[in-house]
Amino acid sequence: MPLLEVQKLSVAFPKPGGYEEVLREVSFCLEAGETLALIGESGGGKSVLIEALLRLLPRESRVSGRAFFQFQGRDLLAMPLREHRSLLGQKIAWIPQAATEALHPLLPVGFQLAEPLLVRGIPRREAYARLVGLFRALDLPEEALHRYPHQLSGGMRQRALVAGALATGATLVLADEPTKGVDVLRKDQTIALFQKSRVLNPGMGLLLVTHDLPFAQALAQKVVVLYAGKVVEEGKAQTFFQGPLHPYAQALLEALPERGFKPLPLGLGREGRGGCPFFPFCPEGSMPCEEGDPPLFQTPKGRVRCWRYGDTGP
Amino acid sequence: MRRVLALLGHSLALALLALALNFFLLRLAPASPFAALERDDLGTVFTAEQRARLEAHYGLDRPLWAQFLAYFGRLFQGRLGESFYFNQPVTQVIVPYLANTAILVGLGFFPALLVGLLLALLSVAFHRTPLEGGLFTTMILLKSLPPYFTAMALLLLLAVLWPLFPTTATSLPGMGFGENLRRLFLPALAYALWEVGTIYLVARGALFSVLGSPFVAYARAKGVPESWVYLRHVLRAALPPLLARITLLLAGSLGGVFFVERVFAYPGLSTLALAAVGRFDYPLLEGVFLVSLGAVLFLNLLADLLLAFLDPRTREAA
Amino acid sequence: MKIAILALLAPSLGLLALSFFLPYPRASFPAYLPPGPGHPLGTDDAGYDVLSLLAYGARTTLGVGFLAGSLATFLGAGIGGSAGLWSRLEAPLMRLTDLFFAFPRLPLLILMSLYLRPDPLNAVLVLALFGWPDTARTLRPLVAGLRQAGYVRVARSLGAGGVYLLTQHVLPQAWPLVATQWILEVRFALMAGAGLAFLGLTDPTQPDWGVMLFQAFNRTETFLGPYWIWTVLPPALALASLVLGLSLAVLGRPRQLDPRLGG
Repeated sequence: MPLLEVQKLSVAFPKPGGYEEVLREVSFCLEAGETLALIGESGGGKSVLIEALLRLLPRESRVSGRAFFQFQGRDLLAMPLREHRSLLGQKIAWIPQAATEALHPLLPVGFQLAEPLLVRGIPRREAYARLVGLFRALDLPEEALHRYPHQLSGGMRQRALVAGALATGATLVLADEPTKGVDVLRKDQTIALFQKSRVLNPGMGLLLVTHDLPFAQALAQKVVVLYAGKVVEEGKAQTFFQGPLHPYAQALLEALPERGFKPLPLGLGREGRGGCPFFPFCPEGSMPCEEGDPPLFQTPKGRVRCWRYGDTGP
Repeated sequence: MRRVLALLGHSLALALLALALNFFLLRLAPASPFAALERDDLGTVFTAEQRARLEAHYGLDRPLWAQFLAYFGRLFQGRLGESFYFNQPVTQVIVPYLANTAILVGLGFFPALLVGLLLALLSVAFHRTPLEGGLFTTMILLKSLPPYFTAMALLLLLAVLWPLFPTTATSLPGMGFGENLRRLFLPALAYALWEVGTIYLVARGALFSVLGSPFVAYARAKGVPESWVYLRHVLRAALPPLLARITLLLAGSLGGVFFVERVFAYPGLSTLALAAVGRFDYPLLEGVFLVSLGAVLFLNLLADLLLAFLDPRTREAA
Repeated sequence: MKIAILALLAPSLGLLALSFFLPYPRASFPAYLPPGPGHPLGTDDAGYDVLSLLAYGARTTLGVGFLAGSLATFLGAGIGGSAGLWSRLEAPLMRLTDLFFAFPRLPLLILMSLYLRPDPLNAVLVLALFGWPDTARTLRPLVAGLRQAGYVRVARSLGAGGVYLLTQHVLPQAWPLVATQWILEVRFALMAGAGLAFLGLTDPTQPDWGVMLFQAFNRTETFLGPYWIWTVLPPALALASLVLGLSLAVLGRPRQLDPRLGG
């Protein structure tokens, strides 16, 4: 069974006059030992997905769907909160996006990173030893462990969080923009570290939320593209990066400096107008796109939510 | 370090200003300071000899700047002048009463602080339950009542209607320790009840504002047990501004203590201040005022220092 | 909630109204008469009718409180608003405010009462003198923020003068905050005014709720018999209900915390 199987996950937040749907029936599978890159623009709901799996969303939000975790094969979203909490920091680790705010300003960095280990009863010495090793691999000085967050640079904080997550030895690592603010050299080190971790922890599954496409390409085996809260493409990383299927994904790749540096169309799709949300920006749009939101079509290269592939059959 | 010096300097400036104010007030009072002393309705008249003595004491026969210097000179030697009524150096008169007030404040404030913090933590942990709502309302009510009212209510309930405690808190020589504690109980309780409401509200507000921070979510996501999340993360983050604010609260509650003392006839600074006012004992009153101001300034300084100490971020800022 | 507030404020206002129908209290009755016909609240140790004292006392207590509170708010709003609007004034004004803010109000009041004649007008002045910093500190950040606000800048660029800005933009926004401060200042002035009277620092010949308590606590027999029931309770409850009512009135209102102390 896959390490993580997400089925029709939907999340909505209350807003004046109703609810705003941020994620709509998102489904995908992450196998053990695999890295899945979740790609999309900021605000597209990627972080929300991770927060939903961690059950950190505000009480007022509406969450539906299932997320089956290999450990005991249970649904993460349905299990009692106490059980879920016991998985966090042990079997599931999180690398949050905004490193600056995720760290407690008044506690030393090392302590915070070691905390998930310390609360499990792992002795201090061992916890810190693990961290020191990871720090070295990420080019972080050992004394950073004893410093306070404001004494480290943004990139250092981000890397520290990566080290912290890997130190737990979790089987499922949820990484939210782990390369934010990190320079190219250190990015390579991060890539190397993740790959090494896979070797040391063979069953580790990495759910990588990012819009850093080269980084994703280096690590991922599978790619899922989110647009306007829905999965619009899913496939093997290798084929994806050679030639994505969905026009949005194509635009994303073309925006990269190496591939043409073409500017992305602004904004997210129209709400409530019916039809494909990407239609206003799509260079290939045609009539069916205006009328109906396409379902996910299966193609030899993966699944796509685009009418252009409609004739290959759902 | 530079910051500490800046804070000290600020306090010092304030202190000097207050002292100067004190000095000039006396001399700015109606024509001669002694005219104020010789109020017809009280029938006090000074003989020539007394007047001469007073003038010499205040050095009023010398030019103003000389007086000012002399005044400060005396102050730095720790001499606050001599009380008219008691005929003793002011410092000697003040000390026992000051000690009493300090005891009362200590006995009342620290329990109030602990209880207030604890209740605030519980409030945050049990948010949205009817119990919490009730607690919140009760605290607001407690804090809204003037301190003398709470004191009077306690007096009535626990000393008059149901005579568990003495109605006055004056100490008689020969009272044992237990007896002394008994007489302190009601005033301390009155003071504590008044303060706990404000402490609770301030702490609750601070904790709630911290609760929404990202690092709390991160702590939970690391699998940290809920109790630790509150104690080690939420409380720790809220503590620096909270303690600073509470120290300032303490400084501001001086007035409230005065009232509690009055209701229970407790021999603290208020007794002295009022006696001084009634007898126009200027040096004594000046002394009491200076001591009060000193306490307040000290607490203000302490608040700023606490903040710097507890929050490593402020240490770096110039 | 509104009912509760009105219920709490009603006795004070009622007593105030009553003062226009009752004769001025004179020590013309036997002392310590319990409540009964002719004296609904009995008489005090000197033979004054308690109800009359309470009614006329309302005039003094409420008068001083409201006047002092209003004066303090007005001063504070003026200084805070000016500091917010004119950046050149901001630093010196706020330094002045901080200076006054640091002084402990009550000991200072006690000190000042020594130098000034203990009549109500002086009480008002003194209470207001150290009350304005709070309002000033609260108002300044708001006004300063408004000054930077987009629509204010636009208005300025179109030639709007200070007065126009003040009345059309600043005042409507600042009004709720100022109103809250006013209630708080009045509340403090009431408590402090009555408190000072309780300590015996004001004119004992003027009927006042604080003075009533002062007299009662000065007599040793007050608590040895049932006398406190009508000499202590009425003024205490009148004060408490008034203060409580004002506190409740402030509860839901917007109140800005001192940024220096914010978490």
